[in-house]
Amino acid sequence: MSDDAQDSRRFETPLPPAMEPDLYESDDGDRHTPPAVPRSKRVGSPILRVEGLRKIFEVGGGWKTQSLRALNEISFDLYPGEVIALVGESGSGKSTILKILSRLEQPTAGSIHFSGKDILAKEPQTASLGYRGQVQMIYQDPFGSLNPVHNIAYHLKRPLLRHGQVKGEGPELDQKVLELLETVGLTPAAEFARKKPHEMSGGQRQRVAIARALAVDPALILADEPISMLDVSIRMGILNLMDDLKTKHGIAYLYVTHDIASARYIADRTMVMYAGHMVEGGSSETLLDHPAHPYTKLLLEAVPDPKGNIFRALSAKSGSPQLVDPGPGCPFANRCPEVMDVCHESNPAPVPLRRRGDGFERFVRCHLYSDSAKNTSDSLKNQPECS
Amino acid sequence: MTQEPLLSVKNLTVEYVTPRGNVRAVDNVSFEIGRGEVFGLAGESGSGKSTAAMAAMRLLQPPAIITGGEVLFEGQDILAMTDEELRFFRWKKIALVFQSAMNALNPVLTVGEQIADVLRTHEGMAPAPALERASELLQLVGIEPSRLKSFPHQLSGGMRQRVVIAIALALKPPLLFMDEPTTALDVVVQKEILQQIAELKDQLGFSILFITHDLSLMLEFCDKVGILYAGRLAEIAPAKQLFGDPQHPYTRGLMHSFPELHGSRHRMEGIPGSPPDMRQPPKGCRFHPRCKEAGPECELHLPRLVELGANHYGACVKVTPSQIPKNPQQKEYRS
Repeated sequence: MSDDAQDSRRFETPLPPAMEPDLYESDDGDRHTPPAVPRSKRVGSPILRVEGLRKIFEVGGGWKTQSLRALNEISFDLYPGEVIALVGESGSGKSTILKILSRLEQPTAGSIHFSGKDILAKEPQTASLGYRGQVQMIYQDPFGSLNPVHNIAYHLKRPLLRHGQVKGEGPELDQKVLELLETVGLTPAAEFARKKPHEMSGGQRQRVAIARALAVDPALILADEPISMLDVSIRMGILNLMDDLKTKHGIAYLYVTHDIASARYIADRTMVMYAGHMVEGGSSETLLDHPAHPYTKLLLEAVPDPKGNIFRALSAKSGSPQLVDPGPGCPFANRCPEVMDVCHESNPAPVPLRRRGDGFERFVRCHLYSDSAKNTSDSLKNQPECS
Repeated sequence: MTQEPLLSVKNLTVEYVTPRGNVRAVDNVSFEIGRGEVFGLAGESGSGKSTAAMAAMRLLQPPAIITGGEVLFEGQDILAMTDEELRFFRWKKIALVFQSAMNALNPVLTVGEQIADVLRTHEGMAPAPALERASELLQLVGIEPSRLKSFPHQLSGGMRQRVVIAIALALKPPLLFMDEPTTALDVVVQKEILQQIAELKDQLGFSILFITHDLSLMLEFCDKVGILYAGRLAEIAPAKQLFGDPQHPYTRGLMHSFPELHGSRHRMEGIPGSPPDMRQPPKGCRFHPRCKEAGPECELHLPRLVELGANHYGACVKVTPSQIPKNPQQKEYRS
């Protein structure tokens, strides 16, 4: 999505009303809290451009193989030093995107441009060492991602040697290991370098996993639920570390999570996934304060909220989308509280929404906002107010 | 609450016997659950929340041993029961819902058989009426009765958890013990199941002992919450009050550990350091090495749980330096 191509149709549809305007709108001035953290400025050209990504898994054996549509027409740009969060329920395809980008899975169709290069065309089978040096992963489970028989220094030396950051064993290598450990806040570094994974807590192990990713000086880190297995009190430390590394080294992140509040905290943009479609995307604040897609609204209603009331009814039923042989309509149509006839007939195309000066594209895939639904403005007005 | 509490745990202490000495996982924990009340135990992994609850149900196996305290259920001491008494007591009086519904259900039996099994064992019901009752129970938790003949693998994760809840409610127990019942589920399914439980609770009047590490969820769902840190209760208060006016530095740190969904975005620090190694817990207050407000007195002795307000108790020297009772009996914890 280039800025020029979209400008002409960007300002067509207004944003939906904010979810809870009275409660939260005036928060900025009233509270005695530290100043809001500014979002990073977007510079240069995208480091990652994904276009029309599709993944079909063949499931079932023997005579009856079926096509499971895990990803449909996924397109987005990621800029250096930017964080995009992918949120959605399990099975929505968010981890599949990471697997394809880390080249563990081959996409069925689509293109991936990394630093302007068409990766799938240049390296069709396996990723080159160069690509792997630029794109690193952090996994969910810090108990499974480190080798229990080796010490921490070993885990960090391997990528340093493999990727030629340091030539051979020696004091330079040891020094680099210590620097990495200090970068991720594991001090005294010399002591941690000698430890085995079982001698460390979950948060410390996740810091080692981050240090290991940093060893090769990557431009993009794919983080798959990096804090979901950690204790609540140490999650912020990991998120803040990721945020600092972003600012300091200009690393871009693709952050997969089901924790929407953490997405809002760390991500500049948030994309909501449902049934392998990106149903809505935009700047994290705007998206979560003014959700447009009925599924995004449902997700936000369901997020546990200490101020909330457990009995507040959800706007839509739970249910699972049809991934095998989906019909022609919108995948959310069978659950959607605002379903219309057209929703069963065709899958909506992304509609740009009016932006609020934050400079990030805002789109939604929903017939409520598309031109095909004639009563767009009416349906917006008639949306139930959330209280 | 004027009436007698349903469950009353007093000074419960549980130790794990290890070759390198005993590890005290639960240390002098006291709480009460009233009838129709939802009580939550929150804490990080290793804080002893599951151990405390399991001990209260007498479900612990060696190497875990209960070394002190008492657990009264409707005035009856659970810790003094014989095995045979326990067998009738469990499920009839306290039923359990665990995190992983997939592992709680038998994969080779239909859902109906598994619900009927409870009724036949405990109530001596004949197969046909038991199945009929099973179908009623399924409807109660929002599943169509036609699913009686389904096997667990044919159900979604949310439906399996509903079946487990149906089994737990089969004997109409006054207390339900739920250990992270929705952790493995998506947020939308989680919300639906909790709403269902809350409705059933109002309808049937049971109490819930709820365990989770998700503090937002706990504050939304529970009436009263106890915060455990390193095996000891740091604070115990009605949920709304705990959220609005947390007193213990650990609770306050926790409140700054999950980002908000609304409002302006500002940096949150969480709590520095990591939870203590329970084999060598810190001297004095267990939290002092991570506490911003800790002073030299915090290293000296373990703070006791003292009354800070109506139904609000905290264990911190800094919060109420003058209120620490000389005689612990004076300010014994009561809800």
